[in-house]
Amino acid sequence: MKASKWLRLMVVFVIVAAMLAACATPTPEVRIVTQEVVVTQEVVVTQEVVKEVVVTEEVPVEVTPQPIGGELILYACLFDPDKLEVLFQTFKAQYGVDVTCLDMSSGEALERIRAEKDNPQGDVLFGTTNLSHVNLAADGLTEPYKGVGWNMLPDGPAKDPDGYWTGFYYGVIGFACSPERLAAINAECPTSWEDLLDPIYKGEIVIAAPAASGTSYTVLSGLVQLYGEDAAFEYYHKLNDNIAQYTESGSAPAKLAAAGEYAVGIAFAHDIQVQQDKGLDVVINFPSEGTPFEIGGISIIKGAKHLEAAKAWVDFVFGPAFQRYHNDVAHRVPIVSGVKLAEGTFSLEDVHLIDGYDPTYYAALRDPLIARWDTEIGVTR
Amino acid sequence: MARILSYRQELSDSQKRRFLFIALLIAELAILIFIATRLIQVNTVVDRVEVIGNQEFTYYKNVLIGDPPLLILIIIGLILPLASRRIRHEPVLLVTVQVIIVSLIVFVFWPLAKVFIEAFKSEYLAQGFSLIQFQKLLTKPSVWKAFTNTMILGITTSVLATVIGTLIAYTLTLTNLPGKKLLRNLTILPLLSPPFAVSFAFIMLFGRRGLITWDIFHITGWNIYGPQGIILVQLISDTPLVILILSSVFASISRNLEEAAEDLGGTPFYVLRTVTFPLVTPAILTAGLLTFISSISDFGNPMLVGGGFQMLATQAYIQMIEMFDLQMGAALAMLLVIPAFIAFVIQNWISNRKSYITVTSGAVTGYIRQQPTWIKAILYSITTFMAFMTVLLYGSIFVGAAVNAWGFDYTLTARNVTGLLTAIPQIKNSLIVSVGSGIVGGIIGIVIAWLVSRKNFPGKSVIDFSATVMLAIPGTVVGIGYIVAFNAAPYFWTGTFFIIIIAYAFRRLPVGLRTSVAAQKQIDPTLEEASLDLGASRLRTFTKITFPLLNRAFFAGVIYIFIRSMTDLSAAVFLNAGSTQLYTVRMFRVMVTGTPSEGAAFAGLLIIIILVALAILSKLTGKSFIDLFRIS
Repeated sequence: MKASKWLRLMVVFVIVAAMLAACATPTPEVRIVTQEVVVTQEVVVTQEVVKEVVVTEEVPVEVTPQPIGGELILYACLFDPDKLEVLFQTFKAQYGVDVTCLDMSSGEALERIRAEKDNPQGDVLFGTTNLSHVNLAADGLTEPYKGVGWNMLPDGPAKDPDGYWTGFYYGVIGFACSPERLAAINAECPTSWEDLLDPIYKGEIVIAAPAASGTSYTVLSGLVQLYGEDAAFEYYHKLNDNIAQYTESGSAPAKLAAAGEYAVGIAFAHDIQVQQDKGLDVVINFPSEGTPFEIGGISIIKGAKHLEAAKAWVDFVFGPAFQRYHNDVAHRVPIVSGVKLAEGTFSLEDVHLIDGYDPTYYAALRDPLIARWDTEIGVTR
Repeated sequence: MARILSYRQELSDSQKRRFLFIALLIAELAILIFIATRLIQVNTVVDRVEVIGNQEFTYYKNVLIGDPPLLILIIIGLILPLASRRIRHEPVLLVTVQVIIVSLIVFVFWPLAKVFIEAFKSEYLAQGFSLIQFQKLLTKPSVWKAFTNTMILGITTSVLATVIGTLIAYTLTLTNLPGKKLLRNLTILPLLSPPFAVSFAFIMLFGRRGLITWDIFHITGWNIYGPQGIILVQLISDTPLVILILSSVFASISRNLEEAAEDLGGTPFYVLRTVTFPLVTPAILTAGLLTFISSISDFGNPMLVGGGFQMLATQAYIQMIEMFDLQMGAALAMLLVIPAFIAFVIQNWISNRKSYITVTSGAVTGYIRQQPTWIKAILYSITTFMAFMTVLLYGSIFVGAAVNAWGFDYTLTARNVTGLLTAIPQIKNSLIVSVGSGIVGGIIGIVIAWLVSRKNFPGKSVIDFSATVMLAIPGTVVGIGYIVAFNAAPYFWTGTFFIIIIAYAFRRLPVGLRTSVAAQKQIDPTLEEASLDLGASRLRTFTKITFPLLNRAFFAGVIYIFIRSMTDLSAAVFLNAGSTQLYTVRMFRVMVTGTPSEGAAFAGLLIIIILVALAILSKLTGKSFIDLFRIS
């Protein structure tokens, strides 16, 4: 009996000691043991060749495909991987690369890239708003690559000056309206931000929580640009009375409105159009004061196991095949101008973008703005 | 030959034991050295390259790649059992205890410790120690709101589910009402789908634009989004587990005891209160604990029907998955762990205070009890209502999958079903993972259960606790923990089936263990003692007496882990990778973004797959379909 008591104590002690040891070890993974000079080598200094890329009128530069082989893993699939299958087949025909696209939210993708930094499983962060790409680049988790697309785009918010990421589509915010639900509450589909404050929409508007979704942060930062920070929060306080729920998913409001659960959902227009494609009854309106937008980016994960294939994919994304198909199926606005738009989709000229809004600039303001939203608005729920 | 034989006979028992013991130690040392070489490796890598003039100097350095803290823990785990004379004297026990301790350290303690270590750092993957995350956490008013919300909801769901589940289990096992078999199959149906599928079907039927609430009754003021919706949905998805656990216990209660009480003049109610109820108390507490933890760590349902109702698990999910803040998520998860831990301790404490032995040789079990008619009426209406709800919900899933767009266009189409063809690789992955984790978890569960309920040795309670602690950890934290602990050198386990199988096996181990322990507690040790007294070895006693008696508990454990792995979402989200993408992950995405009909097709297929798997299992084991579910 005595021995068992003593042992029990010891077990507890050892576990506590082990925990402390585990916490206190300053560098658990990598410790430098010795350091020695081993090799000297002649260096061949080559002149860096700066290639000029001439952008022709019928846009994208066709790359002569060089078979690469192997596989390629894309993180944060833009949309249903099945629908991208056609593109993967085209890509495979050109480069002999098998593409796997992992469907995940941008947050999941980021968390995984961070967690897997010593042993990257993915090769390319494909899609998701450029906020993610900006953050990843800042953490040194992506590989710069100035490919066809980067050279094609003018300097500005759509690409990273150092080539860490490149924008390849635009997404614009719209109001998803359920005609059936609107009829039930005897209201019209709102056409402006001011309209949303009408008490007739009380308990009928859904939007994601900015803390939970990039879509909703796009709205928040857009309104800050439009009204100024304090006035934007004043607006949110008023809007809060009409909001039925703050969803956790950015595209859920589009889905909820399309399913007739609520009258108005605030979401990306392409997410609303995807619902329309499924035969659901939902209408899109754009706010007249101005629409916030996102730039979807692509970047190569540092330490990618299939670097050549990754680079080829990044170039492929700016090719006509991809840009057209992407617009056709996902309805996002192509960044490459001159791409023939699919029927029923709209170009940037069709909407009034908020003047001077730069999503990349607001990437840095994310934490303070969301913290303020949480303490002022989020707490009321 | 004769010399050797006679020499052997000269060896005393204690000498034999000593030889065996030393041989064991040598073997273990060899294994340990092998593990050590894998856990700590020296790699030569390029440190930096300097160019001086036209010469390039490459500096190399030796780096230690590995996990020394874990190695130390493993060594401690191997040495600890040696300290006890009682363990030392039984080689089988010694090896079992060592293997169990080491695997618990590596696959339970270490991933969780890594999450906690990360949570206490000032910055993700930084070094050192900091309380910044906790400051951030404790100063947030929304966190306390989420905490109270979670607790109130958890307790409500747990109490309601346990009461309803117990009543239904009683009805299904100990009454003579008609259609019991059908009702039992129907009431446990929600176990065959992910919990969030219940929410999904619930919205299809009872949403603001649900088939029943809108299309049929046109209720405009109706709203299921909120805590009331979460409770309803969790009741439907959690009660089956209570029914399962309680049915097996009710079925195994010896009629003899009750008969004795009745013969002595006890009224049926008096017998129920003083004999039957105390016998099922541990099972009720287990069920209550499981539903409480399942409720507080659930995020699929709150995400679908919560309507923005703040809960700790969803907050942790958002922090980790949307805010990219693993540390904050881990800190929130720790807040979630505390009440779960308290519930766990209370449950353990009450269960351990009493002795529950009912199965003796020649016991009569599963007899029908007589009840007054009004009690029968109540029991029967509760049970049929539950069965009716599941029929409605799952019926809507299958109907929804067959129509164009649920709610708008009810023309039949094969579109949603043919869309499932693209999910074949994910189905294959999920099956590999679930079968694997079921077998691994079932075996570990029964071994630990045997240790805990049959053996007496110091540190037993620590093993029991460690094996069950996973129960209180949200799946999301398990996923993150495994990634953080095993992604880097020297493991590189991320993206493999191995890591998912192990994670699921240990994540669901507690239930396999609890059912096995409950089953073992019901078996009278005299049966084993008799076998030993008649000269059978311990191993023989285990395989011939203990295991057959535990057979059902074992298969129930395997099936439980299989189904839970097939339907898990929270850990899957983090653990699956390119070639190992799991079915539920795709299914959840489809449910959040797709039409009701598309989501319904995904849910329907999963249910069919699980049913087919169960049918195959029942063929293989020769047990009837429903017996596989029974734990007795």
